[in-house]
Amino acid sequence: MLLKKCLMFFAGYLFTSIVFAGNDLQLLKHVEHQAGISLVEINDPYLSLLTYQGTGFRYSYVSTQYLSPDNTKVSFFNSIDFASGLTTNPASTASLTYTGGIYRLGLRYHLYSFQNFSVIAGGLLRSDFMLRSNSRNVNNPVNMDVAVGLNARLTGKYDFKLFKKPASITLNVESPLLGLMFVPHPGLSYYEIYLRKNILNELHVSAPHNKTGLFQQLKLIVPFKNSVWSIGLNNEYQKYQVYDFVYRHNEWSLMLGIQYDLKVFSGRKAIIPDHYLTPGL
Amino acid sequence: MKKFQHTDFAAFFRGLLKTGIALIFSGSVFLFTSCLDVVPEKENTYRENFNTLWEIIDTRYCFLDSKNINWDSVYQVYEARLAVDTVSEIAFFDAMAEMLAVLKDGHVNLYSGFDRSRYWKWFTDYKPNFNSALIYNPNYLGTNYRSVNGLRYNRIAGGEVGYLYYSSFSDSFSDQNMRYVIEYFKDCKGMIIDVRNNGGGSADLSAKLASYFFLNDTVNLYIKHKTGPGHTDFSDFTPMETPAHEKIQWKRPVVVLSNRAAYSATNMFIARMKDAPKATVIGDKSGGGGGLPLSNELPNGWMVRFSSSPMYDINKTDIENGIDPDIFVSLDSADVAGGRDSLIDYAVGFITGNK
Repeated sequence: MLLKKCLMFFAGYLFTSIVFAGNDLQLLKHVEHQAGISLVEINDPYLSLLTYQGTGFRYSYVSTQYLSPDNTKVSFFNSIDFASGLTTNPASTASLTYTGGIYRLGLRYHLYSFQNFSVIAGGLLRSDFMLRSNSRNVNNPVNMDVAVGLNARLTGKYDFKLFKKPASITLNVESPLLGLMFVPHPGLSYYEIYLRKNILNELHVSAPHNKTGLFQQLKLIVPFKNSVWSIGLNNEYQKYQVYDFVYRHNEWSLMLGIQYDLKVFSGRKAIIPDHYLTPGL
Repeated sequence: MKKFQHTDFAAFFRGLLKTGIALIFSGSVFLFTSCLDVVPEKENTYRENFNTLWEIIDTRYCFLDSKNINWDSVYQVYEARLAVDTVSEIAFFDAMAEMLAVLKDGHVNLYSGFDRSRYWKWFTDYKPNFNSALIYNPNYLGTNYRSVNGLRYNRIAGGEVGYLYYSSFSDSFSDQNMRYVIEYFKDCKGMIIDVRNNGGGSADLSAKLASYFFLNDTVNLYIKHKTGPGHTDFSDFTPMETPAHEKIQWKRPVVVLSNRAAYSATNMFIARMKDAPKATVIGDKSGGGGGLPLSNELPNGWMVRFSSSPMYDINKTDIENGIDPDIFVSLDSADVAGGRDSLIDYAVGFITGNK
C-alpha cells in the first residue's frame, strides 16, 4: 500500500513537472528526463573479492532554474537518478544485482559567457543509496551503499548552429569533496549490526584520501519544434577504500533525453519559446 | 535538401575542444586516486585460486587461533602439492576440500559446479542418540500427530506431556502456530522440545522459539566479528538477547533433547535454553557450529562458506565445540529394539516425576 502511494506521488510529481515546466509562474525552470543503458563494473569486497561486470538501466530527472528572472548568474538544480542492473562474476557462476538512486541539490554560478562558450561552476549536496545483492552468499547476500556529501561541479557549454538550428554541447564534471559514508567491515554481518543497534560505528568520513569519484556527462542538445532532445554519454565512477578494502562502481551510460512541455507545446505549429532552450545544464 | 555546411562540423568540434577545459579539471581529480589501492584483479589459475582460498581463511576465518591451527604450515603442505593436485579441476577441488577439512568446521564448505565439500565428523564420530523412525512410534508422535511449518507435535504419556519435534530452523513458523501448540498442551505437566538431528538454519528462529520460555528479556549469548586480518583481530562482545515473548509464554517445565547432530542455530537455541528458567537439556553434547558463516568466492567462481563471527555462551565461552546437556542420556539399544526412545522416556519421567 505504501509502495503504491509512493509510486502515485512520484508519477504525479513527474506529470506536474512536465505539464508546468513552462507555465508563466515557472518560466525559468527547465526539466529534462533522460534514460539510457549502461555498462557497469562493480567491486564490492563485502560481497565478493571479484570484479563483477554487466549491464544496467539508468533514468535521470534533472530540473534547473535561474534564481530569478532578473538574475541569470545563479541557478538552482536538483536531480534524481535511478539505476539498476545485473552483473556477473568472470566465471559467470554468480550474479550481483544493484538498485539504487542518487539525489543532487545544488547551486551554481555562471562564471562567464563569451563567444558562445560559457562556464558554470558550483557545488551540490549529493546523497547516494544503492543496494547490491548476491543471492548465492550465505549471511552476507546484501550490502548497502549509503553516502551523503558535498561535491563540486564544473560545466562547459558551447552553443553553435547545427543545420541552422541552435544546438549545444555541454560537458559536466563532478567530483566529491567531503562527506559521510556507511561502510561495514566485510567481517561484520548485518545481523550483528542489527543486534548492536549502533550504525554510527560503520559511518566513515569521506574525503579525497579515501574516496574519489568522477561524474562526467558529455551531451549534445538539439531543439526541435515541440521538444528539445539530447543524446549523451555519462560516466559515473566512484572508488573508496575503508579497512584496506577497495570498493568501486564504474558505469558508462548512453543516455537519451527530452524536454517536453505538454501545456506550452500544443500542435505541430507551436514555436518553442526562447526561454525553453535549455542552458544544457 | 540543403548541403550540410562545413562550418557546422567545425563549430561542433570547436565546441568539443572548448569544453575540454573541463577535462583538465577532471584529469586533476585522478591525482587523488593514487591515494587509494588498486583494485586487485585475480587471475583464474589454479595457483591463484589456491592462494585466494588460503588467504580468505587466513584473514577472515575466526577460529584459527582458538583451534590452534597452524594455517601457515597448511599453506606449505598444499602449495607443495599443487603440481599433483592440479591435474584436473576435480583433483584440485578434492585437494582444496581436504585443506579445508583441517579446520574441522561444519560451517566451512567449498561449492563448485559439481560438488560441495563438507566436514561431518562433528557428529559422525559420535553415537547418534537418535532414531528418526522411533519418534513416529505410537508411544510418541504416532501417525495422527499435528504438523505445521516444521513443528510436529502430539500429547504423549497419557496426555501428561507435550512432545514437539522440530527438525530444522529453516522451517519458518509463526507466533500463531506456537500459540496453537501451547494451547494443545495446556493440560500437560510439561513439554519436550526435541531438536535432535536439527542441523540449524535461521538464527532469528532460534531466538524466536526460545522466546516462549523466558519471562524477561535475557542476554544469554554474545557475538564478535573480525576487525582485521590478524587471527586475533576481533571486536568487543556484542550481547545477543533472548526477548521474552509478550503474549505467548510456557511457564511449566520444558525439556530440550539434544544430540551431536544438533548444530549451528540449534546449538544457539540450546545455549539460550540452558539459561531459561524452567528448562533442562537432556541427551548428548550438541554438535557445535558456533561461528556465524559468511561467504566469498574464488576467481574460478567457486564459493567458499566459512565461520566468520564467533559466538559465546553466557559465560563468554565459545560454543563452537558444542554445549553439554544438563543430564547426559544415551539411546539404549535394548530400548530401541523394543521400539522405545530412551531420551524421550527419560524426559517424560523427568517431567512427571516417574523416573
